[in-house]
Amino acid sequence: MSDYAVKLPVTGARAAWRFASSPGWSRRIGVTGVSLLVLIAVFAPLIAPYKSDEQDLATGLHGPTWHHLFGTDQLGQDVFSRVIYASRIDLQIGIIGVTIPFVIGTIVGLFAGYYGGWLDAVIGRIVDIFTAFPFLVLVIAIVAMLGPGLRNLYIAIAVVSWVAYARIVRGETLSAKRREYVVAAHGLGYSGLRIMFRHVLPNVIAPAIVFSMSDFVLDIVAGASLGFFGLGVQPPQAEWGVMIADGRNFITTAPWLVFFPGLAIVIVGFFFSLLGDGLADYIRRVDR
Amino acid sequence: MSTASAAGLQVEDLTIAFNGGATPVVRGVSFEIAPGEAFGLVGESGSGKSLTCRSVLGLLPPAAAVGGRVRLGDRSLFDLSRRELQHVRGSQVSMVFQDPMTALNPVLRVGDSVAQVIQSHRRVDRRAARREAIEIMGRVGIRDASRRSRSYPHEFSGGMRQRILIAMALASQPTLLLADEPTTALDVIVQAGILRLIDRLRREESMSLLLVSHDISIVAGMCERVGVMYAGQLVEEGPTAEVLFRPRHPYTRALIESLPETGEGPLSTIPGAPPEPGSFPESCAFAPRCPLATAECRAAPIPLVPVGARHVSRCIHVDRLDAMELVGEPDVA
Repeated sequence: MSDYAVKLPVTGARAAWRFASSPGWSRRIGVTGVSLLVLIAVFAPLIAPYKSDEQDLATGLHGPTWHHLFGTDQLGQDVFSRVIYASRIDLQIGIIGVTIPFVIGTIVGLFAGYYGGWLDAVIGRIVDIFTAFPFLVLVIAIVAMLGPGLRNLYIAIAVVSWVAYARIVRGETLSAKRREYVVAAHGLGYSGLRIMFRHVLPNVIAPAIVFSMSDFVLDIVAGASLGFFGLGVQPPQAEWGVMIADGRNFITTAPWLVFFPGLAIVIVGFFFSLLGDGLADYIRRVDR
Repeated sequence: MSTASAAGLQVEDLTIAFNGGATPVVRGVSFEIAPGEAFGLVGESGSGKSLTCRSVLGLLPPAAAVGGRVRLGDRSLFDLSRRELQHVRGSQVSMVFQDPMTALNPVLRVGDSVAQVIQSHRRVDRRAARREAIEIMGRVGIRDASRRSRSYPHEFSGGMRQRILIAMALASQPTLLLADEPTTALDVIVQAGILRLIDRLRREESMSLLLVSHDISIVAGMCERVGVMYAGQLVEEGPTAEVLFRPRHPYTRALIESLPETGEGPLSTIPGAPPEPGSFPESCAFAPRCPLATAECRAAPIPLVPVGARHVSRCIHVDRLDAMELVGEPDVA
């Protein structure tokens, strides 16, 4: 299995390149857009003309100008710079909010689907309980219990959204474990763990990856919503939801305060959805 | 490369049933494969031959209820612990599956599939396993094996994939090879090559072979002994030449006579259809389609009786067999 751990990233990188360079407009736009977003987040200090918390009370609440592309807020902070800096936090919420549940849910779903029986029954009931509540309600409830902050937001997302991955992977595993190559793997005397992780997992992971793209957007929206309610990222740190919350009192006089952070969320959602769609198409095509 | 002690296989009174025993599909099958011997199991779809084969490795679906005994050498395979079974599966008994299109993991390079077999049962490092995998791939007739080992299954034809599956089966150096309709999914030309390959490798490695097929002519060319299955039972078993040229059961004879011959009139068929699993009669299951059948055939279970040297048949009308007109012309509708 160690051998696999080394090879997976290499295979992954190669597969990612093959996907990115394959034709299809939505795929190209999605890949390009997401890459751009990542670059913006990484090079935020170089792109943003001002620091995210640089205040200039003299120039507060100015509309967009050449000096302040997206205008300024009531503290005279440059909205453009803050939107750029906020991408770091928001993409981080997406990445961490996807990765942890993805890993947990995939492993749980794999075991449940592969071994079945009482294990599957117990996991199935737990999944049902979580699914009964709307995602956002549960996340807000957990953060409210743990207290506001980014770390508790990650915990809340992890606790709630692993069930989606578990459900997807479990279903795929149920059908994969009956396939002939899995029976053949049993016939070759491979151990249960080896069959699960080397023979079943690579063949069931694709739908979970596709789902993770929309989950990414969902997590960012959740992060922004909690920021809006004051439960997520704490000011003065720039985060799109917090920015919208802060700007809502000025919505009639300075609409740019809520417009641009909102636009940023929409753009992220747009590109990741395209990427997810493209990925789904691509996987269907490769399967055939 | 041949393993020192080739162990024989003994199947004793094997029964397999589904639906909690309500639907028997294999009913009291017994046969023996001597070390190094090739045994063929012939029958129509649903006769239980594939299940019989799979039961040796414990690869039946979880819903199957199994009875009887399968012994490999002096070990009873149904009584093994999970770990012992894993050991037997990987290093003593291997199986070549029916459909090479589905039996290979699509996300593994074929060379890795073979190397994994070697690595999982012996302490060898990755590079050595890979070298050996390429060597085995060469032996099963894959040209340019080191380059082709980096291909994925979908880049291979059916025949090539079947060669990979054979390479995987060989990689564990088994003493018994199970082949479940290994050529059914392949076209005729490729079929001949695969069969020759299995036959040659079996002799080279002095393995025992259990070959399952619906095609009696395939078995005839490769096996020393043959068992004919009908409705979950063995109806005849004996040396291939005898069974083929002097069949002692009306079903076997019908099967042989319905083989296509070139240049002869219309293809002959056996009238009627085999019984469905779940409605197998206690008495002779072939009686409804048999021209020799009498009231006695339908009254009670028919035992296997010796009809020659190591040759048994489940028929009470063996003496009338030579005179019978068995196979009908097909109905032209």
